[in-house]
Order: sequence, then structure tokens, then C-alpha cells
Amino acid sequence: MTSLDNGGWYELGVSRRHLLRSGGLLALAGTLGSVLAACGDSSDGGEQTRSAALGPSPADLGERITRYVGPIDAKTSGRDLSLKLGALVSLSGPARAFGTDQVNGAKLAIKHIEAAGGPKFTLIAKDDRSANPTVGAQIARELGEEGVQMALMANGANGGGSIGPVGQHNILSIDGGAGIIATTIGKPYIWAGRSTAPDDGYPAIAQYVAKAMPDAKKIVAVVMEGPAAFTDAYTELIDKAFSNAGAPKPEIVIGPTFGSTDFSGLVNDLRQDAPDLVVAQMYGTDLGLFIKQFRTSGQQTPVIGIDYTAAATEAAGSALDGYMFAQDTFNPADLASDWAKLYADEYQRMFKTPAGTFNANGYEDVFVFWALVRRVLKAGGDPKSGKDLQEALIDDPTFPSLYGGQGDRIGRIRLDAKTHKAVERTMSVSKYEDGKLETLATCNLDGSNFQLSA
Amino acid sequence: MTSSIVTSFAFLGETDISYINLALIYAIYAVSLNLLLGYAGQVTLAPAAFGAIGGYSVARLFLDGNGLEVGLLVGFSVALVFGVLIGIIALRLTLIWLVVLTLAFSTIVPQVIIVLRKPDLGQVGGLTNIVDVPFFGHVLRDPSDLLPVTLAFAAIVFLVCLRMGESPYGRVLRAVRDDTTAIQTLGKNTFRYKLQVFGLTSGMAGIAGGLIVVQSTVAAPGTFSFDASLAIFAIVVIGGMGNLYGSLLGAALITAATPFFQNVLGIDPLKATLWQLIAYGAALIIVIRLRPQGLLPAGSRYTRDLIARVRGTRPAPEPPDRGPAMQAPSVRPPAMPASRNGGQSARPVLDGEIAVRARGLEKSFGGVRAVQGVDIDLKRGAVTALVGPNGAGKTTVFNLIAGALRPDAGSVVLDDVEIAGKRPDEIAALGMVRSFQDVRLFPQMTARDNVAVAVPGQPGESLARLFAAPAAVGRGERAALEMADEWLEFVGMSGAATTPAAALSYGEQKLVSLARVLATDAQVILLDEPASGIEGSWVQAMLDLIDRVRDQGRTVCIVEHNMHVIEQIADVTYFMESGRVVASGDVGELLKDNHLAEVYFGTV
Amino acid sequence: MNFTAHNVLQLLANGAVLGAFYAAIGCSFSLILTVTGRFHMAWAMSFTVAAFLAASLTENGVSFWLALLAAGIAAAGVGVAIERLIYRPLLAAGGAAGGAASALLTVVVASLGIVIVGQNLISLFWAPDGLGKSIANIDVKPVDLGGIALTSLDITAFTINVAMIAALFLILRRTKLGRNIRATSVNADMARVVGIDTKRIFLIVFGIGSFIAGVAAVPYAAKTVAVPEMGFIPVLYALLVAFLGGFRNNPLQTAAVGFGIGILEAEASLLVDLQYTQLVVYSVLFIFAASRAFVGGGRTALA
Repeated sequence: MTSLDNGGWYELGVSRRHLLRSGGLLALAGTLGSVLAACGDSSDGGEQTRSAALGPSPADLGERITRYVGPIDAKTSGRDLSLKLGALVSLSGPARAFGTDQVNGAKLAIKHIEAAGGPKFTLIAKDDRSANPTVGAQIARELGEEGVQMALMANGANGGGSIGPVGQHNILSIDGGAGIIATTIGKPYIWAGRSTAPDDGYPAIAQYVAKAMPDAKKIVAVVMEGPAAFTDAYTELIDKAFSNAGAPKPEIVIGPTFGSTDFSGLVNDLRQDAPDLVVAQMYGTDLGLFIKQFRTSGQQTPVIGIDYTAAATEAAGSALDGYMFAQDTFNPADLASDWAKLYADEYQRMFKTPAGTFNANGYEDVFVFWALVRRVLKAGGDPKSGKDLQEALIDDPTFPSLYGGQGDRIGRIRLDAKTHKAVERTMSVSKYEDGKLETLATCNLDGSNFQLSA
Repeated sequence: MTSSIVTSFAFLGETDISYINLALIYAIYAVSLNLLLGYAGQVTLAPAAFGAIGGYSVARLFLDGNGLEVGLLVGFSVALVFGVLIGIIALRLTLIWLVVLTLAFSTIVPQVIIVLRKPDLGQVGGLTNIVDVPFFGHVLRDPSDLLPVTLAFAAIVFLVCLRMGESPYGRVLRAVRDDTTAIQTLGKNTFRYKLQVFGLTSGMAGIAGGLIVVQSTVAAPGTFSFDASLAIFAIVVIGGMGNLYGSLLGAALITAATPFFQNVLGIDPLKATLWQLIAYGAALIIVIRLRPQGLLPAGSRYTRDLIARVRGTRPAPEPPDRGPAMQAPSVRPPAMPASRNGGQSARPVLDGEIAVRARGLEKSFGGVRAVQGVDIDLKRGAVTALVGPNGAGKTTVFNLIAGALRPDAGSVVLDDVEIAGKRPDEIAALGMVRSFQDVRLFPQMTARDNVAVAVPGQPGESLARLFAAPAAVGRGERAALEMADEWLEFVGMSGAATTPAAALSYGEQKLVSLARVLATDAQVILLDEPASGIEGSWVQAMLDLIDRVRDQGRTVCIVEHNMHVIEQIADVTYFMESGRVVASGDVGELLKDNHLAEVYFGTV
Repeated sequence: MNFTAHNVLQLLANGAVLGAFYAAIGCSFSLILTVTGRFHMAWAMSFTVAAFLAASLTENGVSFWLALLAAGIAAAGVGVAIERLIYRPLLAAGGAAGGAASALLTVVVASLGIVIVGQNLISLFWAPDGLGKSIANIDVKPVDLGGIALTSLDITAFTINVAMIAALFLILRRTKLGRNIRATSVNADMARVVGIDTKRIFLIVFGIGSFIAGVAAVPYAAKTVAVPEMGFIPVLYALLVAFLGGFRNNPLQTAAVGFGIGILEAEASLLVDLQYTQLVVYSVLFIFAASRAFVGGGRTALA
């Protein structure tokens, strides 16, 4: 992908995702959230014990986990180790739902890893006040001083604030919220396994339009915010994805800035253009508000986007029905692998609410850390050293994934040593209808291996 | 440069030091804002926006290979220039428009930064990974490396602000805050003071912004949002407006609140974070409720001695508990102080020489001709009175002569210099000063400071000499305070020297305001109803004082209603009716005119 | 971005809907600021509480209009409680001694505390999942006004906001209460002398102003979504409209400014990309404020 080398473009892509995940920046209203975020109150220790009693026995659980992510060599499983795991996420402010979700997923992962004979992780969660960079720097330093060498992360390195301290203290971090964005691309110790908006979404969208929407002749792609240079980069990216897929070339329309609540100008523009399909590059609440105002203005044009969160559902209500999107979505109603099914069941049992994308990412990322710990132990390194962990990651950047796969065969992700972002993982095009998600198609990040659902 | 400081902090971890850095950076923001707000009374909602200018300068220049010292210098300078530009506009704005202006500015700055392509300011994501920044070649890696830098800048900013605030310069600032018009009529160029303070404090905010970028390792709009400005305000108000030590305390407390509540309220942040914020908000409300003036208000007894030392004066004693209003001063007050300005006071008093010559004054207000072709002479060494019924235009004429109003036509010549259209401070410098009917003392300043601020030519009122010539400043200040005490003694108000003006009775305020006018050394004194609104015995005291002022050779002009006052002290009286002078001369002679007697006494 | 007459009119209609909202919240903020002198940034809490209450009520089957009324009353209650329990004792305890600027900032800091407490309490108890809440029980339909497309919600919001401004105008101009409010605003000491209970007037003003905020918040939340931080941007607009509208207790003048800003924001999209409209609005504001230095009423008596 040549656009990878284009700094300007990345800045662009990043800022979008970054803003999406960082409500603090422009006081965006709740941009984030999982499909159904967990309530923090139900997550204390007593609750866990009681809930666990109702689920599979620890031995059974351990056996199953081992089967999915194994084989586990007892000598290098880290069984007797006690490791500190940090979480630099949002626990207050507009991005709170998202951070809480990530931590909940991580808590479940810690339980499963212990059951499978892995190390005992102690979670140290810190609040970045919804991507306040000054707070981000402070909490990352605190982790460093407390000797934490691995951490979950969010908001594009906490609004950029934790990039420096994480690098200085060698804290291997996985951004499970924003993914790798412009400001974090290739930065030491900062990695991400999930897809990154918007560039990861467009190839899948273009494939879907070409294969499943032959009637969409006139397409308008809405691009939010951004100076002219960004718009050019977007146009290039979108054009390329659509021409690769053999779909009609979309017309670009510039939308309002992030955090807007009034979309009447854009709705007005779209009414005049009267396209067959709108490709929306909007996130979280913004997306929900746009769709709500677009639909209530009487327009029925289908909308396909690159983001879906509970915040959009909450903002748009039933107006979101029919919205399609390309994203690595954890849909509890349509799970491919047994591991994902086990996770969804366990999550529901522990937190009394269905699993979703952001808690699944938190869960998956802790398993990445465990895999690295095992590899470091096998190579005779120090599993408490972020440096050793990152070296193991660079040696073999492939990990089991909660997404994709089929039955016993689980999915996998592969990261890129240069950009630190995912180059291989399962992407899906889904549709929201009446509170449920329906998987329309799956493919790889680059749009290859595209398969329409039956 | 770091070793000694760092070892003394060795018992602290890097996290603690990081919080200390943050507190010191916020102290820079707060101390400079406090000088602007608490001393000069200029409201700005944009400290964080000026911080953004400094912060982005540091980040951009660092990424281009420069050290922190270069970034801070550029950031300080650019913020200072913007501060001066805003200041030029602010000079002419009332408080509410200043609020709108700075609010708009604080919103525009981050948005412009996002839009700018050249220089590349990183767009919405900001400029990240500002780590290992060199400062004069010394790489700042950990918080403990940054500590000496934040400590040094906080100390410099604090000392500079303290020197500016607690000095003759600061006395003028506080007078600007309390009553800009009044201080201008005493001969101070408020323009210069406001611009200097706006510029310098904006530059200091730029330094704070530059340092916070090193602390945060990123320059992003989120660091310089309106929220940040609000936090800085909270520090200033919680600490105490008008007390720079309070801002230090406020910065320490507000910064420490986060780790404090984290330690007190639970270990699991998933549940405790919101409660911590609630506790923080509640603490803000409780502190401001219990100490509305802040923890260390201006004049707090905890800092009075410290500040007195800075000002080079004796610590002021506790103001005496003043019971009922003072008795009227004795009819025979102590000797009049010698004028400091030998040249002017030694001017020979030529009988009949005219000090101020007003010719053909015209003034209309919305079509109403308030003053029509008025000629007035103020004889040197004499008391000239303007009298007339309400609406006769005497106050308008007074304001035209004093320079508070610009005449539509006509001229006012003071010692051969045309003064119509000049600013009040320029007129004061030429030797003519006015009082106000409603007194207009500086209410939050002591009686002594009210008078001392009027003493002309103080070296400590020059920003440059404040730092370059401390000895001269000290001498000047001692002389000014002596002058003030002498004039207070002259009007019989020595006992009230350390009392805030707002706590004085009306009659006492009138006397202090006379002392204030006299302390300017002006040869022409314009007194607006000096005896109105005060009780009998005070009136006599006031008239005796005016007599003595005339005896010294000064020229006095009064506007007065009370004919008995006029009869007693006026040498020349101008009667006005309907915007014209209808008669002038000796009041006794004039009152033989039946018409005038009827107007003024109702009977013949 | 087409400069057609139709488009200009369409944007004018959009701007008027937005402007009516700015006008109403501006009048709300202005009333409180003008009469009481309180720089009531915690106004945002009345706004937010109203939106959340309306969302909860409509979610549980209460009709939109009943919820609207309840939200207004709750908002008024929040405003009155803040004045009675925090601002009044605070300023009575000496917050005003340092002059106007000092009293203003004391209230701002107290407001800041209130907003931090309020926002996080709402997060904790009203939005525990960290997500927003929508207003239910309202059916939004497209409306075509001679080619100009709006929604029924736009019409409802516009009508409610304009009606509140008109009612406020009538209360201030045509009733004894209004005269007392204006008298208190001009000179509270004098008002006390002539027998007006100014403390009570302050409470009433907080009640009326906050009621307007609360009612305006409900259609706003219906068009958007209720989140704990939702008051932040409206309070900035409210205070700007209040400032630009002058402090003459004239809701019509304040409303004109609100409409002006709404229409400017909408029409600005004809000239610049949508993302620059806010920058345009604030730049116009900056220039307007700066121009007061040289002409008109913002100027100090002496330079």
C-alpha cells in the first residue's frame, strides 16, 4: 500500500481515528463504546467468583483455552510468574464506555489465562481523562515507575501523551481502541492488532459495493473535516479502493467537523446530490447523529460506513436500521470460532451483558502478551522486560485472534514490524437492523478473500 | 546544574517529581495570570491559548533540531507580541467585551493551529514524542531532569511578578484595577502599564505552555483547551487574587488533588475514578465557600511580612480597629509639606497672572447645547468658583477644563500650552489635576497607597528601573511614602494610613482624596464639590485646607453648590445659567444683584 | 455549496432553527447574568439534567410534552438550588469584596466545581454504561415548506424556543414581576429600598432562566443525544449570545444576536468548507469585539 509511505495521508487517517477515540480533544460527545458496554459495578472479585461457579469448571476452562491457543509447554507457560499488566485507558469523560470495556475484557482474559496454566497477571488500570495528553504522559510515567512492562492502551497513545514515556520506560503497549494512527505509526513499543479507520475499511466497502450493490451508480463519499491536502489524500484512497474493486468512482463531499451536533448543512448537500449510496466516514456519536438527522429529513438512501459503536446506536435509535459498515466487529450473534463462542458466553456470564468489539480487543490483547511471555521464556529471556517482549514480537508478529477462524480452527492476526499495525486480520461488512448485527461479508484487511455471507 | 537540586529531592520518586513539575508549570501560569487579574484587574480567558503559542513553538523547534532554550525564547517572544496586540485592543474595552474578545481568541488559536500546514503543527493529533529535549545541551530525559528547569523558570516568573506587583509599579497597577479613570487623572499613562502587563504575562504563559509540552511530551490542542484556562483560573481564585504566594499554594493544592484523591479513594480506578473527580469538584466548592477571597487573600496576615520585605518597607501594622467615624480633624492642622518639586513651587506668584485660560468653550450632547461660548480664567494663586443651578453646565465646563471631555469648539490653555484634546495623564503632567465629586479613591488600597500612588516621578514606576536600579527604586519609594504620610498628616488623616479606602467614612474619603490631589504637586487643582455630602465640622476643616493650599501659591478651581462655602473661600466666582456665564467677579459684589440672590437664596 | 437562491433560503431556514436555540439559551444565560451578576457556568447542569430527565421519562412511556415540562421544572430546581445553596452564601461570605471581577471569578470557580461534581454524578448514576440517552416518544417526520426541507422536530424546537423568548419578553415588560426584575437588575440596592425582595427576585430569575435552559435542552437532546458533557458547548454559545446581546434585559435584542449567529453559522457553509464554520463564527466574534474598542458601547470612558 503506497499510501503507507505518505506521511500526509497518514496524518489524515490518523486524525480521524484519533479524534474518534479521543473525546477530550474537541469535547466530542461519547464517541466510543462497545456493542454493549459492561457496567463496572458488576466486576468486583466476589461477583467473579460467584459467576465463575456457574460457568465451566476451571479445569475444563483451562483445557479448552489450551486447545484453542496452544499448544502450551508447561515449562514455558509462565505458571509461577506474577506479572504486572497496565491499562492506559479512559475511565472518565466521553470515552469512558470504551476504556471500561477494554478493562473488562482484560479481566476475563486474566482469569482464562490463569485457568490455562499461564502466569498471574495483576491489572493496574489508569484513567487518561478521555485522551488528555498531559494526563496520558503522567499515567504512563507512573506505570514506568511501578515497573510495569506491558500495557493495554487507547486513544492513539492517550492523545499522544504516552508515546514518549512508554518509549522511555520500554512498556510494550497495544492500542486496542484507536489502533495505530498517524501519531503512533512505527513508534517504539506501541503496537495494535485491530483494524485502523479509515484506510482498513474502504477496500472491504468497495468490494461489497462492487459485488452486492450493482444498482449503486451514483456514490457520494462523505469525508469529515480536514484541510484540502487531507481531502486529496482521502480522494486518492477512496478512488483506489473503488477502482481496484471495479466499483463506480465516488464523488467526495466534505462534512462538518468532529463533534458537530448539527448536520443540517450536510443533509442539505446530500438532498441536492441525490446519490444511490452514501459512504460515510464518521464515528461514534457523530455517525449516529448524522444518520438520525439524515433519515428524519426523509432521505432513504443507503449508508455504508467504517465505524459502528453503541454510541451510534444510542444517538440514532431506530434510524440506524439498515446502516452497513466495514469494521472488525465482534458480533456475539455470529461467531466463527469456538474460542469466540466461549468468550462470548463467559463475558455474558461475568458481566451480565453481551460481549462486543472493544472488550473482545482487550481480551485478545492480553492473550498476545501471554504468547509473548511464553516465547521470551522459551528463548531464555526476561518476561518482565518490555525490551525482550518487543523483540519476541518482532521475531514473530503472528498471534491467535478471537476474530475469524471456524469451529476449532481459530483466526489469527499478523502485525507489521515497520508500521506496528495489523496487516492480516479478519474484516467484515455488517449491517445493523433492529438492535442486531448481521454479517454481510468477510474478507482480509486488503479486501482479498472476499466472501459474501450465505 | 542539576545534581544539588536532584539529590535534595532524592526521597521522591519520578512520579512525584512529575507532579511537582506540573505544579510548578501551573504556578507560572497562575502567578502571571494573577498579576494581570489580581493586580491590574484585566480579565482574560485565554491563558492557555498563549500557552499554546509557547507550547507549539517549543515542539516545532525541537523537532527541527533546536533546544528548549530556543523554543522558550521564541515562544515567550511570540506570545508576548500577541499579548501586546490583544492588549492594544483590550485597553479600550470594558470588562465584558474583554471577556468576549479573549474567549474568542482562546477558541481561535487551537483551531488555527489545526488548520495551519506551514509550519507543520501536526494537525489535530498535535506534535508528539517530544522527548529527550535538550536544554543548553543537557538532555531532559526524566522528570527529575526537567525539575531544575521548571523550578528555575517558576522562581524567575514568581520573582519578576512579585517585584512588579509589590512595588510602586504594582501600586499603579492596583490603582488601574480599582479605577482606571482616576489613576489616569493623577498623571499615570495607563496605556503603557496595561500594554506592558498584558505583553509580559502573555509571554510568561507562553513559557508555561512550552514547559508543559516537555512535561506532556506532546503539543496538542487538548493541552491548551478552555478547560485548561478554567483550571488556571481556579488556582488563582482558590489561592487568592492579588496575592502571588496564594497562586503558588493554589497550584500546589490543585495539582496534588489528583494523586491525593487517588490514594484516599480506592485503588480500583474502574470504580473510583468518577468518585475522585466528584471529590475534587466538591473540594473546590467547599474551599471557595469557606474562603471566598482565596486561601491567601491580598493583604493576608500570613504573607504581609513577606510582601513588606519585598517592597522594602516596614511590615504594616495590623490596621487599628476603627470604631465610629473619626472626629473631624482639628481646625489647625500641622504644617503643610514642602513641595518636592522646587522649580514649580518656587514660581513667583504674579498678581493677576492667568494660569488657565478657557475661551469660547462649546459642548453639545445629542443636540442639547450644554455649554455655549464660555470664557473662564483661573488666576494663579487664587480660588475660582463655578456656581449655578442644576443643569447650568458648570460640571460640563469643569470636565472640559479638566480634559475629561473634549470641547466641540474653543480652547483651554494651561501655561501657554493648549490642552483641549489631550489625555488626562498628559494634562496632569503639565501641572493640572482634578478631584471627583464622588471621590473615587482606590477602594482596595490603603489611604497611604492612595496618596503615595499620586506622587509624581517615582523611579519604581518604570519597569526597566525596577530591575536595573533597585537602590534608586528603594530610595524613591521611601521618599514617596514619606510624602504620602506628610500629606495625610496635612489633611489630618494620619491615623487612617493603613486603612483600606473602602473602610473610610465619606468625609474621611474626601480628605484623603484631597491629599491625593495635593500629592501630585500640580500647580492647578480642580476640585469637584469638595464640601458636598459631608457634615458641618468637616466642611470647615476642608475649607481651611483649601485656604492653606491657596496660601502656598497653588491655583484652585472649585465647582460648588453651597454659597456659604463660596462666600468663604472664593476669590473669583463665575455664575452660570443655561450653559453660559451670566456674571463673574467677587461673590459679595455679585450677590448684591437681586436676580442672582433670588436664584441662590430664594429670597432677597 | 451552491449559491442558488433556493440553497440560500434552505440554509436560512436551517440557520433560523439553530438560531432559535442559540437565542433561547442566550436569553436564559443573559437573564441570570444581567439581573444577578452571576457568571453562572453551572448553567450547563440545568441543561444536562433536563435532557437526562426527559430521556428517562420518555423511555418509560411519559409523553414528550409532559417530559418537556418536567425537564423545565427540574432544570429550574437545579438553578434555584445552586443559587440558594452555593452562590448566595458564597458571595455573602465576602466573595464580592474584591470588586466585580473578583465576584465574577469566584462564581466561575464555584461553577467549575459544580460542573465537575454534576457531570460525574450523572455519569455514575444516570449513564453508568458510559453511553448517552435518547429522547423517546417523539416521532420525527420530514416537513416540506415550499421546497425548503425541515423536520417536524425542527419546527417543534423552533416554536418552543421562540415561544419562550416571547413569554420572557412579556413577563419582563408587562408584569409587575418583570418590573421588579428589571428594577433589581438596574440597581439592586435601590430596588431593596423601594421594598423589592431582591433575594427572592434572584431565585425567581434563576428559576425562569434555568427553566428556559431545561426546555431548550429537550428538543436539542432529541435531535442529538444526552451525554453528561452535553452542556459544555451550549453554555459557551449561551454566554457569547448573552454578551453580544448586551445587558439590557431585552430578550428581543439578545434573541436577534442568537438568530444572527445561527444564520451566520449556516450560511457560512456557502463560502467555506463546513469544518471552518466555527472558526468563521469565532473570528467574526473576535473582530466584532475588537471593533468595540474603536466604536460604540464597549469602549471605556477614557482610553
